[in-house]
Amino acid sequence: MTTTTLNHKAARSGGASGRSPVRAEIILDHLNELPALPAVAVRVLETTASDASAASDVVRLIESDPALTTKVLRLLQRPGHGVRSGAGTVERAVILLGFAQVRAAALSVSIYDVFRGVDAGEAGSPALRADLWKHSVAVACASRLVAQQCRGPAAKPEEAFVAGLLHDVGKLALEACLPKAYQRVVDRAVKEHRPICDVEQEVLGVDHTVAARRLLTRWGLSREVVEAAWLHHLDPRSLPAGLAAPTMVRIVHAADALVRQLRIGICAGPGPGDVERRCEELGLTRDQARELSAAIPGEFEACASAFDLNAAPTDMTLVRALSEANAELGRVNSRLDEAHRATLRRGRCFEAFRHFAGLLHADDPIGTVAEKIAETAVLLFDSGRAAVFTTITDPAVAATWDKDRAGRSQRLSGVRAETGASTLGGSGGFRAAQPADIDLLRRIGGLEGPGEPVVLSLNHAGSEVGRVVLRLPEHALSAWNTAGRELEGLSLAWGLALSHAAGREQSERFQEALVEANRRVQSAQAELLHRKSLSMVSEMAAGAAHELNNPLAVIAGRAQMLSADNTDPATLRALEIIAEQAKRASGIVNELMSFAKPRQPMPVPIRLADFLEVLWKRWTEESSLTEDRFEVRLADTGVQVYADPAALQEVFNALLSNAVAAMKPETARLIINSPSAASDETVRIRIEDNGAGMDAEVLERAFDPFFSHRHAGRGRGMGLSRALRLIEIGRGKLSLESSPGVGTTVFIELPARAPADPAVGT
Amino acid sequence: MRNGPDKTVFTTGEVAQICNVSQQTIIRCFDNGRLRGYRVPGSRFRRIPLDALRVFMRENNIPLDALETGKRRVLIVDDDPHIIDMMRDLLERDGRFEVRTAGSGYDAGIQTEQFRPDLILLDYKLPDVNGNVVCKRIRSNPDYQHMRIVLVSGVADPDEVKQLIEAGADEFIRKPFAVDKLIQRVGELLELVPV
Repeated sequence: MTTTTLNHKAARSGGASGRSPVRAEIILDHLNELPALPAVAVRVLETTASDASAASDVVRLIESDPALTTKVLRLLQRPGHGVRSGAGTVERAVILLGFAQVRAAALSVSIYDVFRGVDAGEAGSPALRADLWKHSVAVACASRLVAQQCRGPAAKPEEAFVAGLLHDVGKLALEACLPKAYQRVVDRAVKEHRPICDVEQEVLGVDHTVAARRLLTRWGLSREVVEAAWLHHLDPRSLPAGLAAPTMVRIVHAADALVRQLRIGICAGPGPGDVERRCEELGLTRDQARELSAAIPGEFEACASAFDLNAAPTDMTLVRALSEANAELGRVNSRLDEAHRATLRRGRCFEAFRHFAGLLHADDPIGTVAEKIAETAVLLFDSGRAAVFTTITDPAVAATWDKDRAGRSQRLSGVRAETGASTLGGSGGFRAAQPADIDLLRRIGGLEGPGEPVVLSLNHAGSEVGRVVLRLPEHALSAWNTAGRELEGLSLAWGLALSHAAGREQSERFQEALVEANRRVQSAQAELLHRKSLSMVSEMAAGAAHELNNPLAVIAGRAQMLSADNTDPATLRALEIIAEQAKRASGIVNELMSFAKPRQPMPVPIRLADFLEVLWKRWTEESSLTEDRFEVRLADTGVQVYADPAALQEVFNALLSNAVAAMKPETARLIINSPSAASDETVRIRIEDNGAGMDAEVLERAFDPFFSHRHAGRGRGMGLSRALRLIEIGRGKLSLESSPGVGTTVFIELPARAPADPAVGT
Repeated sequence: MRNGPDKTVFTTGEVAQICNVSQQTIIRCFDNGRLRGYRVPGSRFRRIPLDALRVFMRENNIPLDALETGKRRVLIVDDDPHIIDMMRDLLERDGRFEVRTAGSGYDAGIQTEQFRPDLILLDYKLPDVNGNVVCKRIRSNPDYQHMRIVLVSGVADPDEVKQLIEAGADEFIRKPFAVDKLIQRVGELLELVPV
């Protein structure tokens, strides 16, 4: 059976509307408060047409109630039937029309009277109830007409009349029990143009088909009538199997559709759709369907009077239907117009997307991407100029595009993202420019044009990555702000492009930073290694100095003591050499130690001119360098250096010693040159010689301790390395340039004054 | 007269002889406190310790030669036996010095107490304490104020040398050294007449 399906439907509807099944049951229980069927109706139901004796009982029963008799006869009174109001009898009607018709009429009138007797109180609306009845009576008439046309054994016209009359009895019942709520249901269905069943479910938790099924079952009406009332809203093609009277359901369904098309009585909800198709399903032709439709108003008018219904003239019904249809048409038109404008906007957006995609290249820098966004925005919003700001880069990138001129982009240092204000048109819409946005505009030279500046946020992954700022006239702004989805799409597409460009830029920056960091790590490692080896040498030298100096002292001492006892000149000479060499060895050790552990410098301001004059004097007096071969050039004699005097002396002696050793005395030319001024922070000094020079390999090792490329007359190879160390300790720099056969230039940089921070130096 | 190196206490007669003055003068000086000493317990005999005598002679500008019999006491402190041997040979060969040696700072302390050297040749790096500590200890005792201290070391850090001088050393001599210069400097410090 179909119970499962139907319960399922009820449950789903209830669930969707949020109504509990309990509430539905409470409402259905209300139906029990409706009066029971009158005795006549009960008796009529018990009687079948074939049972002649019972039929005469029913006739007598009807006739015993004069009011009922009048109504039944009025209902049966139709042109050509020979039954006239007030003139006939029920018995005559049975003879003329058959018992079935009389029975149906009696049943209909009885049931109709049940509802007339219900007092809905102040809440009830007689007009609504009348409208509901008009519809029911019209469907009853239509059902009979359809059944007559169908000619099948199941298509019993009198049964169809009753089924049609009662198909919406659920509405009558619900209206009778809950008049106020039901008025609301009808109003809403009309206003929202929705199927009345859905609204019933929503408002009451139960719809009229279920109510009808309950009521009619209680009253004991035939299954044909019950099923028709229960299932007449279902599409006949989807009727469940196992129904007692599927044909009756279809007949009432088609009749309902025909009446709704004619808009007789209350016809809330959407139109009936393709009525003729429904008739075709019953085996009727489209012509027959049209004939039926034309016959219904006449039948309805005839019956309506029998039910004391004031049938409005059919013409009026049509006029009302027409005006309602007109209004409906107007609504459809306006929706179509809106849809058309939306489609146009979408088209423009799509065109803008296409244009933007065509402009974009995978490796565009973020400024170019921003420019292209601005260009697309100018095109899409038909604006004179648009600006685009990024909020994910630091500094922010600003790009503009002018309709006439080209675009440009720039970095705005010191601009960081701030949280945006509320949007005007919901998410993805334009918002009014905030002071921060105005400030950004001012920095890029403003934005002329009509309307206020508005901002469209460009988003990616849920956060703002940039903004489009432009001026839009009021009407354009309101039009675009109804297009939330299109703007959201733009915002996401542009946001994605910006975010991608920013990501790539950042990754490039990271890469560069990584390379730089790597370089620094390497240089720090080299420095660390240098320091480590120095500190190792230093420790070793300090130990060695002590350990070596003791035996050297013994050697030298013993040799000297021996020489005191000796007179042989050869032995004396040998002893002298022993003592000397021991001292020399000790000297090397001490030198190494002082290189590794130089004493703390005591820098003082030294006037460079004075220092060099003393130096010049001593070297011209004590070395092979003659006065005309040694020149000192100073750009500013007021220049001072901040250095340790002893260390400075040692450095220059070492450098000059190297220079002199490298030059031939007859061609030697040594120049000390300082281009620095007294106001400089750093004093630069060059020592140029025209000696033998060094090749790259020698130059590279020139600062290594104990390295010397001089074979004859070489020193200990500590001069340059010690000079470099002393200069570095004194916060200076020392470097060499040399080419073999040309000469060597030593570049020295020394601080001109004490460091500003007293914690550093001294 | 025998004034050997072991003699540490003198009678007034011996002091008079050493100082080349009358015994009465010595007794007068003893009694008025200018020459410090003590009386033998249970008698009135006066006794003068070597140190007091030396102070007395120095204060009164009396040449010390007679007291020393020409020999001055020198303590060599070094952990290297070869250095010790060489220095001992050097000083003994000179003939003007009586030499003792110590191999550690601890040893040096004991020898200083017993031997009361006129001069110490002190190595800076000792196995137990550094030379500057020994130096400070000696200088903290008022009895040793006259002692000369010469630090001898292979370490030549100027900052360390400065510290040593501050700790009370009279001289710093770097190893290796010229032997004649060492002898000369020791002689000068002890105010000896050059040979």
